[in-house]
Amino acid sequence: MKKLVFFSLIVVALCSFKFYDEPNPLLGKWEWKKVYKKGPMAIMLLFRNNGTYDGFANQKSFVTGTYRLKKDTLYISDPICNSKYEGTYKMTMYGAQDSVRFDVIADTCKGRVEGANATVYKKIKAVK
Amino acid sequence: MRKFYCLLVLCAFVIIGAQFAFTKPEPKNAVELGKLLFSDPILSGTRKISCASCHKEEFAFADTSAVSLGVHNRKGIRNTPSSMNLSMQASFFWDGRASTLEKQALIPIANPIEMDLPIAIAVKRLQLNTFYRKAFQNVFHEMPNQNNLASALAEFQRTLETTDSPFDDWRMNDNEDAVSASAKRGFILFNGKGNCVQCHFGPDFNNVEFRTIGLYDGKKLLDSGRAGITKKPADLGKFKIGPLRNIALTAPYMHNGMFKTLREVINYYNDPEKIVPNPVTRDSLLSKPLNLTETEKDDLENFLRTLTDKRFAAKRQ
Repeated sequence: MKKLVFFSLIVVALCSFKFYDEPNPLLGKWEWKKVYKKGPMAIMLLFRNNGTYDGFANQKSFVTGTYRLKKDTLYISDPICNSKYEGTYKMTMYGAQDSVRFDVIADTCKGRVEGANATVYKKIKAVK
Repeated sequence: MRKFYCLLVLCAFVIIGAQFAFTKPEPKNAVELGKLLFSDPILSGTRKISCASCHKEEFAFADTSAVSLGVHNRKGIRNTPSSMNLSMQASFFWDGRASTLEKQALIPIANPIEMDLPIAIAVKRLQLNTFYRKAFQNVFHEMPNQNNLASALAEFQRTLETTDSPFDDWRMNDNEDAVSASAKRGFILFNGKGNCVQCHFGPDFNNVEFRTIGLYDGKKLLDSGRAGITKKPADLGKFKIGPLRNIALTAPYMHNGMFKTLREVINYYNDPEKIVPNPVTRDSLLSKPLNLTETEKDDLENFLRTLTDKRFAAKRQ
């Protein structure tokens, strides 16, 4: 009986224990290249595992904010638009999760929609 | 006799060597040509000042006086903005009168209180100058003209981008040691209580807008700013939002250079009414005092100092 209780406890403990969190596919640096004012412009996004992100235009930081993921939906906020408001975007990963597309679901921040909607970013591989 | 020949040969070497030493290097492209033109007084009426006379490299290509002196020591009316970090700007000059760097490049040359040289005469001078005639032919495959002069100056200015500040290092590389704890607190204030980010955002910490911060009172402060270009009453006292990269090097501040230090600027934004009471217009973002503490002001200032590119820090050590 003691053994049964002991094993039952182990099974319950194992069932309730989450071995690993669902991996965050956005972590790391992503790049989207476009032309701005007849010159090349590289927009880079850096998503960190503490829920913050930065955006860079030609190596210059242009936005710092927070984000969270819920399945394929990205909730994103920044102090330029309003740090208390989250815009939502559908996130579609391609290939070996090395490309991602963002499509607006709802966002009242016009500037962010213009800069983010229907954009496809490629993952920047870490240089060793 | 032998001594005489030796002396003659020596003199010949010195003369030939001097020729090489003092000859301008031949520019290989528009950027190099633009760089030479930027520092050459040939583009001023008196042949005494150049773009670089007011856009001084050691001060992030800005000037240290409230307003710069042009030809014959004529006083300008606005503070000289930095020539750096312009490639992503949507407009140029405090009132946004130029929409491209090419258009911008020619305006100070022709301005009677700056370089005072009509563009047609500037072009003629370059065409008559053996060095520049050859240089323009090599780079543009044509004689100097208004367009390629503007293009060379603009291309040079496009290279003056700075992306290597302690702030960039912190954000891009997650290098927590790149900036101080005070500067990090300052960045939070910049994005929050200070409201700075509402106007100063984007890669160069300004956006494309023109705003009125209350420095037009119709009595002592008489520069109507953007309204002079658009002729719209709503633009009275509006000016281009100033970029903040290398801002610690570009004192004095504002369109008229009225604030000598970053602290004076922060004090103004903290309570504008105290410093310029009853302006004609002032942005609603500045309608209430920020009530920053002295420590918070220090933090904001320290954050702004992290926007100085390392190329300048290295030179000052």
